[in-house]
Amino acid sequence: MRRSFFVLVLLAAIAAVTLDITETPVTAQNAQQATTGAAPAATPRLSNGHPDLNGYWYRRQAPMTPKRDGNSVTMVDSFASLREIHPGTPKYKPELVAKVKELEKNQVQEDRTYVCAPPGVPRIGPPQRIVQTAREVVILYDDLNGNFFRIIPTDGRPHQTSRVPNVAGQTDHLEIDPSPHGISVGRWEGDTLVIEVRNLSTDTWLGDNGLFHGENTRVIERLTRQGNTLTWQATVEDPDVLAEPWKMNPRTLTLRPDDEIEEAAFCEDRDTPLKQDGSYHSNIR
Amino acid sequence: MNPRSRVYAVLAVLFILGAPSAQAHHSFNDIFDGDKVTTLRGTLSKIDWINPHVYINSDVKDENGKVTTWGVESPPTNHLRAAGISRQDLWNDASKGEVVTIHVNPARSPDKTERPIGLLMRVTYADGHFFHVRGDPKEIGAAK
Repeated sequence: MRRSFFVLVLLAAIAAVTLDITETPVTAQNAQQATTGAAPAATPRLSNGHPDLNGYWYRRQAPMTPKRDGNSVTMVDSFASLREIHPGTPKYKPELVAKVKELEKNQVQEDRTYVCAPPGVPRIGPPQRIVQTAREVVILYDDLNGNFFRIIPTDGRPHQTSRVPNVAGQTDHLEIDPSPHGISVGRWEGDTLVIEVRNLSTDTWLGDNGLFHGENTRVIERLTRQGNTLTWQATVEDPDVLAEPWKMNPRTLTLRPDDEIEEAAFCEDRDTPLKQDGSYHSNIR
Repeated sequence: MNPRSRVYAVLAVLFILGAPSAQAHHSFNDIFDGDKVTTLRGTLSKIDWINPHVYINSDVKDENGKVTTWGVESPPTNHLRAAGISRQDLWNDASKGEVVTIHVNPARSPDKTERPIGLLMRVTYADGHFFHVRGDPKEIGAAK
């Protein structure tokens, strides 16, 4: 009896793994082919020699795989693809672990992204649309919660801490308030664009599940283009709350030359009155 | 294998096979009852193309002729777009007033909402084509 039981369990486990493998999204397969194929596409460069990051970069957003049959579409949840885009989990200081758990338990009330607030860096995820010039890189997002943008100087300018407000006659600098997407500057390390983000407001989280952060958070993003794929990897340094820097799982994006970012639809939360404590809603972007 | 052992073995297989989908489905179960399927036959009256969830509004007539507008919570706009489903695909001039069949997971607490709501599983148009966004496609067939 016991042997039959284990054989069944083993067969079931093999079946489960096989199912996950067969659900690997087409985009991931393409990305793999692009990086391991016999003749990978060359990496285009701008006239200054740096890799050309311009374009619409497809990042898998949903744990779903659509299948089209005539005019009909079937979207199937794929656990494998959800795992593929999972950012990983940061290690908090021991005395703050309970706070993270409490926030996670009360996520419905505490997580402002549920009520259409900006997700912030790094929770907003990988770039969606990049506009690159010799002096700066602009990242545009069509997020669930709205259109967001980041302007990232790459010409050696330091992080701005103040600026002259856009008011006639005003010449005094005003300090820049912390914000969900902070202030970024970029620099090239070989063919990798390294972006350092500071001045992040504490009303955002680093991810789902109560991942709060402190006032001195620094995020380092690394963008590397190889052929028609772009790898985004972010590391969060927050010595006030984290036991060690959080090296997030990298994401591989694919260039879609014929696609374009769209204006985000208006965000209006209608679920809040229905939510109960302890309810959890995956928001991986 | 005695019958009891067989039951445990089958349960173990179901648990292992079911684990991935159970984890992927956890998110909405507090608001909507993932174990119940309600079939709505009504007239498409409006699409709210909003985030974080698109809403399909359907006017459903009960046996007494009373019309109630259901709000059907659907995936976000960019998830639909990534699946190749546009706002025009869901609702356009041709489908205005079209009687469609919508399978939903109903709300767990209907008393909390001003009007009945459900979570979209599948919307099927008059000509038979459909958009299936949630749940086991075979279950929908059984729910008809």
